[in-house]
Amino acid sequence: MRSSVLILVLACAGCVSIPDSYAPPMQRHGMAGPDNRGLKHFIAMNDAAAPAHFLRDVSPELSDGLWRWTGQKPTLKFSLPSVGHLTLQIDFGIHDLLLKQAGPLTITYFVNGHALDKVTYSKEGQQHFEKAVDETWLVKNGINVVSFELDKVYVAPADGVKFGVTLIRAGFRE
Amino acid sequence: MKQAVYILLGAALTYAVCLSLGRLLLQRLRLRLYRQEETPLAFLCGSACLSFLVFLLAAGQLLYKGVFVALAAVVLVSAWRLRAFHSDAPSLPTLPRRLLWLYIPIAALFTALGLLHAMAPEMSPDGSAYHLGLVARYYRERGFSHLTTNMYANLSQGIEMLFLYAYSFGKHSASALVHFSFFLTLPLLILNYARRRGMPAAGMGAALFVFLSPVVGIDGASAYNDVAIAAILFAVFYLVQIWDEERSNALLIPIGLMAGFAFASKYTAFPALLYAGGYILWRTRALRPLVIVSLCALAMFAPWLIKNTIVVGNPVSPFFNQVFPNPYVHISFEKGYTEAMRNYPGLASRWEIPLEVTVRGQVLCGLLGPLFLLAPLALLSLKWRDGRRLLAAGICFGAVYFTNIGTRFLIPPLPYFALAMAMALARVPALLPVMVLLHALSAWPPLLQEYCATYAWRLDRMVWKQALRIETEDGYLTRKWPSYAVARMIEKNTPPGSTVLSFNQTGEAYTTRDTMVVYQSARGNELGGILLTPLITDYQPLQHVTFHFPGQPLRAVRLRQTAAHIPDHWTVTEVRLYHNGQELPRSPQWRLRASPNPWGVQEAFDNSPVTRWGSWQTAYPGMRIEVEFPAPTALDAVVVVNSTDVRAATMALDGKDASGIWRTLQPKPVITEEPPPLRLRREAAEVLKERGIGFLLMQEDDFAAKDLATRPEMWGVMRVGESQGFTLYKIQ
Repeated sequence: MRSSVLILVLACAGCVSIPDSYAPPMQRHGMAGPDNRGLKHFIAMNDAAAPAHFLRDVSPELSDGLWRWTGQKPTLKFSLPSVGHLTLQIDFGIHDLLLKQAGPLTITYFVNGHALDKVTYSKEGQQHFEKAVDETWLVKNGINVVSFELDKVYVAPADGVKFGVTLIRAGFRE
Repeated sequence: MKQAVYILLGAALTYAVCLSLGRLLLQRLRLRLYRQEETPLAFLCGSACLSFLVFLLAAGQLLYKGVFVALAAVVLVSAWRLRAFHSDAPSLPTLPRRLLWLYIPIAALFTALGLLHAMAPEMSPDGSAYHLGLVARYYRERGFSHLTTNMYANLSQGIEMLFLYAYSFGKHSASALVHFSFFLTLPLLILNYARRRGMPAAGMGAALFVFLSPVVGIDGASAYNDVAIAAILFAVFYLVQIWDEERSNALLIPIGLMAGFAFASKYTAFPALLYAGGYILWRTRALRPLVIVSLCALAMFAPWLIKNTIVVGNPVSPFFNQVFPNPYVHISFEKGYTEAMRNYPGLASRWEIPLEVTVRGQVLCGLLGPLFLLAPLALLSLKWRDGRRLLAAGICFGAVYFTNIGTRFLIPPLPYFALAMAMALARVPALLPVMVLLHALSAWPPLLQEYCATYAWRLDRMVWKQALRIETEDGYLTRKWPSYAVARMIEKNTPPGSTVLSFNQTGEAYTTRDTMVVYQSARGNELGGILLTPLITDYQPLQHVTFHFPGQPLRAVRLRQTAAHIPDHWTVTEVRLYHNGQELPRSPQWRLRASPNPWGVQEAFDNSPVTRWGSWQTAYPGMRIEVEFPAPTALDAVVVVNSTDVRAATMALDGKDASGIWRTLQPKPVITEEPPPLRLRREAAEVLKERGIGFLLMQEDDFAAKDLATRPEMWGVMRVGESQGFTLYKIQ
């Protein structure tokens, strides 16, 4: 008897049609596109697409697979699919040699030419800058330029080469 | 007071129809019962019949009060005309008078306590959520709807069909009173069985052991179904034992009906089928009686299996989803749910169960009473045949307890152990009445609160003002039951037809809006995941897995999960196909397949960073996502956009060439990290809205609550209501 119950149950289950396959659904628009060779809204220095974001003062050489030296006024460009509720975020490192040689470092941050903030750093090591950006300063789906200007750099005594900070990642986030 | 009259009318009419149907059935079968046995057994058999009839009405979209009135008229008139209540059956042996003088006042006090609670506005956790939430919904929609987003709707609901009948006349409390009628019936069954077996004193004691037990009292006075199940199971046992004495084939029909009704009322009552079938087969060694019992049982529970098969593609949903894969309940949910039922939070070890279920009552939601610490005394009854039969039945019906260790899941086997204990205690003069008295004292609310846990689920006082509606239902529930206030807040602040997504169960029986609780369905799981994606970095598409291979025309590509023995599910946010650096537009002619969870495959091809296909079970090698093209299509790269909670999963890419042969295109992809996409919150809210969610309900300690409260403009939501720590947001 129980086997007949089981057969009935299985037969019932067999009545349910399960589609074999599906077509792609309606595509959602306005989202970050798939093209990882283009400009992004946020970039890590070890991303293969990073060099496309550099306008000036960022070294083409990646160090330790993670960071790049900057010059005195590193400048990068970003593309933003949306401009509301964004913060500029930059992770970088300050070398102790710079502080020893030149004293506390002041950095002024700019977004599309607007001064966003000015911060003085007196400690070495990794730093995180984060500040909300007025959306009227930003260009949706266009190029947005970010720069940060160091009031001093480290000058190598041996060859006079100038070093700014070690940039790890930068861009816009919600 | 008028409302109280309707409540009593609804419950009384339901009871009367059940009783009449049962009397008609017993009359037709010409069963030889004792006079005192007729009413309780007729009520239970009639309950099975009425439940079946209401199921048919619900399936036929005929849930109208007029239909119920007509049904009552037909049944009651038939019973009257056919003299179904006429009885010339002999009486059972009389009960000891001195014990009656002691027991009747105790029983009367506890009956009043339970009756008033059952009549008072219903505010039990599950009763006001899904037991009556579904009943109210079925009545509102005039029948079963294609409800796939509430796994409780997939459980068998035989008792809820009786609630539905009463609800149409007296709403929530009438339904609770229907359960209360089972609560009154159960001790009568125990008593009558014991009288039939020549042990009236033990029967009286055992009936009160069960009746006075705190968890039985509160459960029986609420819109739950555990006490009803216990009564039905005891009826199965009772009828089987009568059949064993008389070997009347007519008894096989009610035995089958009641065993089937047990399963049709609660999955965990399936041992009734094994007990009835097994016992009869054991005693007869013949198939015919077993076939009769099985067919009658099948008639009772098959409708529920068929309904589930039609609606959710799994006859025993929400369980056995591996056997009956379906889009409505995930395998991972079933696993988590069954584990949660076996391990209540707050219980350090299973060794705590005896004290928890008898004395404390908080962690496992209720207590049987300290008397049942003496349950091992039941073993003394093993020396009598009756004792052995009782304990065998108790073990059979209690065998499923460890699938859900809540105290109320001990109610079904309780009568057998209570009677076996009483048999042993009755051997010592005066001991049994003393134990009954002590049990009554320990269960009386003012004394009970002295030793049980503060929040133990129990009857706590006589709520006569609330029962009679001298205090209004709205006033009482608003004052005492937070879930009610939340339900009314939803009702007030949302238009009819709205769907509210919530992480918590609320008083769904008190709102007409559809509250989709995220853990109650596959769809809920998915929508909950979408809502959390902007907040949980590990859910976000931060990883690109790129497969480069020599450009070639392919008829299909297949992404395979290759890692074994990993704890994670496999998920994929997007699959993108490239040729010469350009992404191929997704053509409607593409055919997408996935295994497992083929129903979710479109989530990996919708260009949204908040939706993703998931295996919804632990990853194993061979899981796959496949894209088939209408004609050979040139490709040289595939990018899989992934979240970081599936780092342990590894993938290989296969391609089907023009000749139809599958081969691996690239076993080792390049993995790069990506920043989180912008505007994730707004995207999540938009996707939820597109999928029919108009409102979000957040409890203050929900994971997303703080972010929604502080950044409503980033989500695109507006706060529209607040109550009892819950906030309601409208998605704009």
